[in-house]
Amino acid sequence: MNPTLTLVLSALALGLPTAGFALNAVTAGRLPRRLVALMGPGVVLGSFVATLVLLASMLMQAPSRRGVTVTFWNWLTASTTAGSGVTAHSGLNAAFSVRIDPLSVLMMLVITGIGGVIHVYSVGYMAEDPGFNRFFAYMNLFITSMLTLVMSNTLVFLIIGWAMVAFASYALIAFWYERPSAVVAGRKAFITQVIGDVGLVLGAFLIFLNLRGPGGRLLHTVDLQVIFANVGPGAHFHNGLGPLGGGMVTAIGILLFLGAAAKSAQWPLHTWLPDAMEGPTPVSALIHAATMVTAGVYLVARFHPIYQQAPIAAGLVAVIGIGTALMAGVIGCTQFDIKRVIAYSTMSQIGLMIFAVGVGAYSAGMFQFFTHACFKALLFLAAGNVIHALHDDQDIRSMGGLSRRMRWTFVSFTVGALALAGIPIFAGFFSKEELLGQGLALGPAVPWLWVIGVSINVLTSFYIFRVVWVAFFGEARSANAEHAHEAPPLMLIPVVVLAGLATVVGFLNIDFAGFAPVTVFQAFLQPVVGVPAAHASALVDGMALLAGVLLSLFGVGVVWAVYGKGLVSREFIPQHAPWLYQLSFRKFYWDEIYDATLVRPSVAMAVGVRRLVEPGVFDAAVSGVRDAVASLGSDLRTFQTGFVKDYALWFFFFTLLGVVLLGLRLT
Amino acid sequence: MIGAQVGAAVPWLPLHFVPASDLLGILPILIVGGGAVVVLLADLVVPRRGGPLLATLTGVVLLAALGTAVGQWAANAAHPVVFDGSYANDRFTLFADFVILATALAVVGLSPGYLRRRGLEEGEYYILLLASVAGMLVLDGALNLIVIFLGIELLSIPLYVLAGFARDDKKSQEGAMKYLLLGGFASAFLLYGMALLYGETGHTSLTAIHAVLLRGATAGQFDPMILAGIGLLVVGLAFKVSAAPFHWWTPDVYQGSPAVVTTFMSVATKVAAFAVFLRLFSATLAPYRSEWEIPVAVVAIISMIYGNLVAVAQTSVKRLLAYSGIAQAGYVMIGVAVGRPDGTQAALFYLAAYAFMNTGAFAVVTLLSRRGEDCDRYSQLAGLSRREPLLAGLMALFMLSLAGFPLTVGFFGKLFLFSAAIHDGQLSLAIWGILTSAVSLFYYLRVILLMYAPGEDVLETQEMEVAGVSPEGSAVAARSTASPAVLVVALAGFGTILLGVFPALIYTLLQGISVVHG
Amino acid sequence: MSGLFPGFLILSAAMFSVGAAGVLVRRNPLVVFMCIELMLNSANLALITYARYTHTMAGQVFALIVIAVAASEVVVGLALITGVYRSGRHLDLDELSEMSE
Repeated sequence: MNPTLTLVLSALALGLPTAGFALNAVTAGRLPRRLVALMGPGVVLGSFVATLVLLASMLMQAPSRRGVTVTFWNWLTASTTAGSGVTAHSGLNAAFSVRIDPLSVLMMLVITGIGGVIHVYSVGYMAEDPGFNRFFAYMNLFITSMLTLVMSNTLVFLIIGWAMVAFASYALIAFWYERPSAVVAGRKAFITQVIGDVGLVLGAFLIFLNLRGPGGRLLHTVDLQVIFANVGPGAHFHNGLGPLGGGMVTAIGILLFLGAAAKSAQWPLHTWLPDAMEGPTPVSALIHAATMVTAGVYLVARFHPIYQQAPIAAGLVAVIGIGTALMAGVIGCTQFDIKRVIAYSTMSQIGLMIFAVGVGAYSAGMFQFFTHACFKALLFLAAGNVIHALHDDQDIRSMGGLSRRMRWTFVSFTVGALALAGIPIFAGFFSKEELLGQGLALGPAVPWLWVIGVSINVLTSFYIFRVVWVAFFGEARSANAEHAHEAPPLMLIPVVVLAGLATVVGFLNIDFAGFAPVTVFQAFLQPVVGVPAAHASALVDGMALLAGVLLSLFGVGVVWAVYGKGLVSREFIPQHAPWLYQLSFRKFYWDEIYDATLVRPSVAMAVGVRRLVEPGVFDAAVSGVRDAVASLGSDLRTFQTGFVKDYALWFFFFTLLGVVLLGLRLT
Repeated sequence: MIGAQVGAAVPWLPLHFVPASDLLGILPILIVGGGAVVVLLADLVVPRRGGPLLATLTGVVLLAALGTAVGQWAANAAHPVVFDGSYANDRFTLFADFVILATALAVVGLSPGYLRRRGLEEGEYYILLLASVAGMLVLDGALNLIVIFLGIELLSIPLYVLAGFARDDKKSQEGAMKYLLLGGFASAFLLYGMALLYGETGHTSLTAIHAVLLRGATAGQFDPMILAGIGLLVVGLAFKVSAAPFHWWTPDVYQGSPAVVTTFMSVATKVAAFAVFLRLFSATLAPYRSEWEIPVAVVAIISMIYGNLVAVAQTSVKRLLAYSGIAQAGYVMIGVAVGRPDGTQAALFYLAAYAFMNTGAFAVVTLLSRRGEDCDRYSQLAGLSRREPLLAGLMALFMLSLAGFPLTVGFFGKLFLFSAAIHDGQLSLAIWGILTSAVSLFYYLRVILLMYAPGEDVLETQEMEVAGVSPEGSAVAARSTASPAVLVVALAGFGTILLGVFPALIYTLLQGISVVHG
Repeated sequence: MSGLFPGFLILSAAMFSVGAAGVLVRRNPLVVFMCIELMLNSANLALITYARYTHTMAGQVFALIVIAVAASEVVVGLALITGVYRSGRHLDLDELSEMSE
């Protein structure tokens, strides 16, 4: 790839949203709305175009030459010891360089492409909102942060992007800051992110400290390419005491995953995601479906050279992924808030992606990310249309009969549901088929993981078609639902576009039932993550495929039986297994558990500290230091009498003192 | 010696024609010195109140010198040592030249408006400024004790006059008098130290002195008279860079002098004096390092502690910046104490950083001045953010940079110095630096709080009314008449951020620099 | 000559001390200024003594330059002192202490 062209394009891709944010932030809401309505989506779509050109120029290259590192500027190339010949402990070398390779371009495509569509949608959705400009400032900031995260070629800027994403998501979740629940949700999300940040930073720091290059020399590098080049078989992490390769790399893998789990809402750091639905619906679509929550998947895929050396950490990733997927699927079945159902579905789907990257099916995980971004953004935006039509009512119990009043939205939502459930020809079918097929092939040691994965299909199709049925069929159950109208074109077109995407993108990964050695998508990602190491036989693959589809259809059938025909009472589970229902409805009680074990004790401790320790210890210490400094300063200044004579005397005195000390030293 | 050789070579001609290469080596000095003469003559012919014209002329002279220095840097002369080993026109010198000349240019930009407001429009101002700059340029490349002394005096004597340039202002008079007497006093110590060094080594050339010291040090002999001489050098130079406990003149002179002079004095003098400090200690006196390392480190630590502590108790911005300047001198002394190329480079980086942020801070003070006086009391700053949001914002930036906040150039200045100290094993210097930096937050943030605190406007307005000045009078008027001054502040602010984001812009310049001494 | 060498140095040191003491105790800026000149000249004496002792010329050149520099310093100094005097203030250093902490 032409380095100059790549530099310009990646600078454009990153710079446009940044400029949009900066312009909005600097003018502090004084720009005319009309301009912001053009500029906000415009910069993101411009960034998308730049990314498309990048993609095109990349595709013209041989696969082995599709990775390019471009350095924007050298943040700190100068080691402080350069010139003295000491280079072993050179200072921090942190360049702001970006990595343009298939993986990052895929992420960029989704971030700017789906992100651009969501921006367009937001123009309609937020049209009445007084914080219109602020909203687009945050949205552009989010795109910038996310791009920084996926493009960065150094640990430093990866972490910076990682933290900026957390901030932007906080700002967007708590966008309606008059709502206390929104503010609390934003705070919860942010605190969870910070816990994850700590893990990521510690992991990165351990890499920086312990990575050794050829000859056992400590590298002290933050450059991702250098890191990955030195994390192969035979490379060693050291902890300074001796070779503890396996332990160190496992620790790094787990710490990095702590960051990934927080971003991707995986157990045990998952509770923020449903609450984050307090933000405007486009935010849910952008952040909590398409991009931010998949950063964890990206992280594991990007750091796969490390996870390949750390089977224990990778196994943990897979187990947590599949566990979260199952748990979220169960919870999703009993929720009534349309956005929360989709949120739990997101959590569940991302669990599957995490499972995939955990077992080493990187390409499958990333493809699931790709299709999921399309159909989940679609579901959110379509849900947004419904919510908008119902004047911010999100409870599916007060909907009903919307299929007649909002035909396009209904069709689109249903396409999204079909894709999510993995019904053939829709995107989700291909991605899930590959994901589970790969998972089966790569994780044979634990086939029950796969069994769980496939059975999640039942849950998925059940909860999503439950929403379809309850919200769109039957009779309207509220005045709002009776008077619902189809969304305006500005909000409908993006939905329809996404519906189209959700229908077709799956074909990128068609493998003709094992006839093609690698699919288009696998071939694209191959330079970064390689091809899957193992293939299931065509027979096993076909069986798995059939099982998946049948289970999904079974889920739809259950919905039809329960909600459509009433063959089975809705109260069947609540009556016959109340514990199961409660477990699901109460979201496995995680909020309560955290509240009891973490939040309350912390608050109690904080209150205690404030009442008992703070006045006596901290306040006293702080004011003591302050007073000491101030009084010392005042005391010392009395030397400054203003008399020349005194000044000369002090000067003379200290000189003499020096001479005397010198004399003492010499004798 | 110079004279003897010249006489021997051309017995029939008492004045030997100086080789062109030598003149080329001191071209920036010649331009500035010649420029001073030109401005002197121009002052005779231009009409009274020709301030802007003379300022322009001075600016052109300084720009020419700066351009020459840049050209010489780019040309990268192979033999930078000229005048028989008494002046080095190496990259070290040129870098110091850049900082000094740029600061002088900034001061010239600030001057016309300021001098008019304070009624000090005299052509001599620019002549003295150029003379002082010439002294600084002589000093920063000096390779001979005689040249060092000459440089110090050439930079100081015009400054004595400039400090007292507001002749009718008692504070200015007082400051000038204190500066003159204490400066002379310190010069005597410095000179005596040089005499001892010369007497014991038999040379005034730094190169030759280095050779003698090296011989002694490798034999394990440390001459006590030389040690005493080095001690007196430390004292005399510490006075010039206003390092505690030899800083006594600083607050009073800074407060008394016209704000533009203080700007110049606080930055350019420090750069020039530190240049010779670094050259002497990282090269010439390096063999005696084991002997002077601790005293220099102690001076650095005392400066950091004293400057930062006393600054907390100030109520005038000029005095605050004086004490902060003492503290900053302490930080740069870390670079001197570390010696070696990385210490020197870190110190040079800090000086460049200091030029941006301190010039900027003083320039804001300059812009706030009004008819007849400087407005530097804290009460006069209160509520500045509402009267002058731009100036207040920039001032806040300079304060943050001086405090060493990330994304400002001050952060990297401190970072490089502290890490140089740590790499050198002088952990205590870094620890004291970090501790006192924390203390410095007290007073830097206080200035910001003052400017942005609500509800103090009333007091200011009343005070102004008492003084017979309309509240809008000062800076707004200043801005309309002094756009070059606003440009200077803006550039300083721009540099502070730019170098805070891209420190490599300067740091890479410094990479190859180590001290040449013959 | 070499026998006298320590003598000259001692004289120079004594002159320096006398000058320094003068700076420390006198209140008249003119006298203080003269004391500073005395200190500079003590350094000159040391320079010349050393020049003689080490058989080099540099000390003498140095001394000449110091004399020239001191002369210009005197010019400036006297002008400043006259300025203070003409503004109607006593020539008393202790009264020049408006600025202090």
